[in-house]
Amino acid sequence: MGSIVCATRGGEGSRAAQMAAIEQAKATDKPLIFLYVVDPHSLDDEIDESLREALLAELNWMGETLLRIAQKRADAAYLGTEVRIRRGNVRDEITRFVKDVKADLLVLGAPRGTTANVFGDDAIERLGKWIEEHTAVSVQITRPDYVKSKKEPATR
Amino acid sequence: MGFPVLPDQLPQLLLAQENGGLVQQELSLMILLFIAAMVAIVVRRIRLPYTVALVLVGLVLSFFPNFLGFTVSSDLILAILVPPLIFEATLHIPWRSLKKDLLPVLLLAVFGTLVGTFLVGGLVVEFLGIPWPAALAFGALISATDPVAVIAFFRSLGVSKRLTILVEGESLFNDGVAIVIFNLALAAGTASSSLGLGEALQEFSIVAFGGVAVGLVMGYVVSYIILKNVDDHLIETATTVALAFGSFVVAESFGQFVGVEGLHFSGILAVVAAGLMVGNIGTLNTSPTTKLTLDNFWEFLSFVVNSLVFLLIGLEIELSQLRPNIIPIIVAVVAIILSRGVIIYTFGWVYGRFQPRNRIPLNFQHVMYWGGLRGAISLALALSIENAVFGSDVALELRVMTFGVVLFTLLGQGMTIEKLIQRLKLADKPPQRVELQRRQATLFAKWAGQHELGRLRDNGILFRDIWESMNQVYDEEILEKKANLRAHLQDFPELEQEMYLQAREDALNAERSAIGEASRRGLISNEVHDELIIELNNRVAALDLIKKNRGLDVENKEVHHG
Repeated sequence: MGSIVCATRGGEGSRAAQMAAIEQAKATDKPLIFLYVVDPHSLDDEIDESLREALLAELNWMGETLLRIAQKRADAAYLGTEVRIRRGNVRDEITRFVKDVKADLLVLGAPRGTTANVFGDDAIERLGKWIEEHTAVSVQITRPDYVKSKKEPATR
Repeated sequence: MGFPVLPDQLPQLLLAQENGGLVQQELSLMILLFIAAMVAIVVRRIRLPYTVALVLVGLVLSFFPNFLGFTVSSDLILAILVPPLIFEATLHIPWRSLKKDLLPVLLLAVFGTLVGTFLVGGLVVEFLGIPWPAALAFGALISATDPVAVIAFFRSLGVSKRLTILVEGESLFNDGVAIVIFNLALAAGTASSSLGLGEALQEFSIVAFGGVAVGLVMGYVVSYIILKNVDDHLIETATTVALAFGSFVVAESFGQFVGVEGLHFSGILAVVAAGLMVGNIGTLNTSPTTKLTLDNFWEFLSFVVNSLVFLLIGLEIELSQLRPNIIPIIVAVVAIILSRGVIIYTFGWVYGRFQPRNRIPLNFQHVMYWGGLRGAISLALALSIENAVFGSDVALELRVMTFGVVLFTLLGQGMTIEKLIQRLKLADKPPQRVELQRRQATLFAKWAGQHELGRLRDNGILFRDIWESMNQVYDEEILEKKANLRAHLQDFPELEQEMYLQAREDALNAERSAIGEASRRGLISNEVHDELIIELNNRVAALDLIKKNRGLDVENKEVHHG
């Protein structure tokens, strides 16, 4: 049985994506994995070389926190989950990861309005399409409005 | 040729022996402070910049000729009132942010002031026939921008940090530069001395770099020797006061300390450098208590001094002189508006060509242009022009032109800058963020109330059964407030990310304070302290980058038309 992967970065659409993924996992009884990708080159244009190590450490810290938040949301819905941090180019790492874990579904969050400059230079729809074309995984894109229509389980 | 304040003259300045007795002067001061407090209360209800309101009230008070028990001299403004204002402003400028824009700030402060001096000077010579040295002195003194009113708007409207740094940084450095050029022009105006261009540049460099060096050394000593090793918030705060005034006096009277007659440096630039050093390094070595005391003390002192400065500006403007000199005033106002426009837009364009990745957005340039208000420094320099230098008629004309320009910029530009900022969509306080703060603060307040009840119960002041009932009500209220907060975050999920990033920044700052505390207690060596502080500074800088990358800082946000 394949798994569900929810790639999260803590942005505007993250919670919606996490909730959609939790719902899908509960409905299909498939294992859910939350994924966060630390991209060492995401800020290449503006980064001072002396800051690179600190930036990676800080992105990693953020990833660990965000994954714990996602996991707590799943816990509150009585769903056990796994979390993973990968390092590399966002598109390549997500693609590699969904292949590695033989995922059936990838859930991505998108902000309201434009999605340019989210996940590297790709608009998120393009990213989803690219992954679908290069893997056998379906991609679901969720926007913040999804949360409004659902009652989020309370976390402490 | 330097600013003529010597250490042994300061007590005399403080006692202000010129007019009236000490009691009368003290009474005037108290009345001014009371008036300032009243003005502050009133402007909370109307959308008028505090400083502008103070000037207007000062103008009204100027109808009472003997209102003040002392004369407002340039010494009083420059040596007593300006250093604490500049010191307080620099305390809050993060070096990390200033460093990113140090080049445009310095270029604007140095070359902008020079170009402005000659442009305004040239127009004044052309249209008013004022002699060149006097026109250049006016061009220099009127080039010193005073963004107090503008910065107050920036803070209340939530304008980008970068724009604040550009405006505040330019102003801090151009004050020092303008004073140096002004003194050179005065020297050129006296028959006893004449300066060639090379000599003037040499003098300019010595005075400017010397001032910065004095400030850095004194700031370093205070940061590393006193703030790092003494753990007493009162002593540490007193030391910063001594530094603010001391760096000014030492720089201005440097020759006296080293036995070289006539040697002096820029006091203002010394205060700028000392403030930057203490604000960025010194406060890292202090406890949270000291930091809080420093912030509160300097905020209070800056409020008091600012209030006095702007009331005194209003009081000093001779309304009766404005009307007969309306033509020179109009020429001066047009000259500063034109020259500021030429400087900002030409510089912005050229800088953008050479530094495309760090260019200054056009809407920032509009605010920098229209936000170039003039205030205390210009007025103090105008008051310091002695009749003997350019003749009494020219000296009076320059003073009145300065009053006119200060009045125009404060009233005309100061009262319209808010509209401009909003029109350019540079105000960044979306209602959902304000609502988040409101809901967080309400929850925080409820918790504090519940905590206090627990304390009263523990101390036996509150009976348990009463406490239980009150506590239950609080529990219910807290649950409700939590649900409200959660609902708001559900409606605006982007706020969750902001909440995380803000909390992370606070946590890193707390880690930094803890390292300082460990060093003060002698638990870790200086080397370990420095190493860990650098590491934490890098983590904070990295967090800033993440914020910027995620669009949570409005730096470089630009309005695209069409």
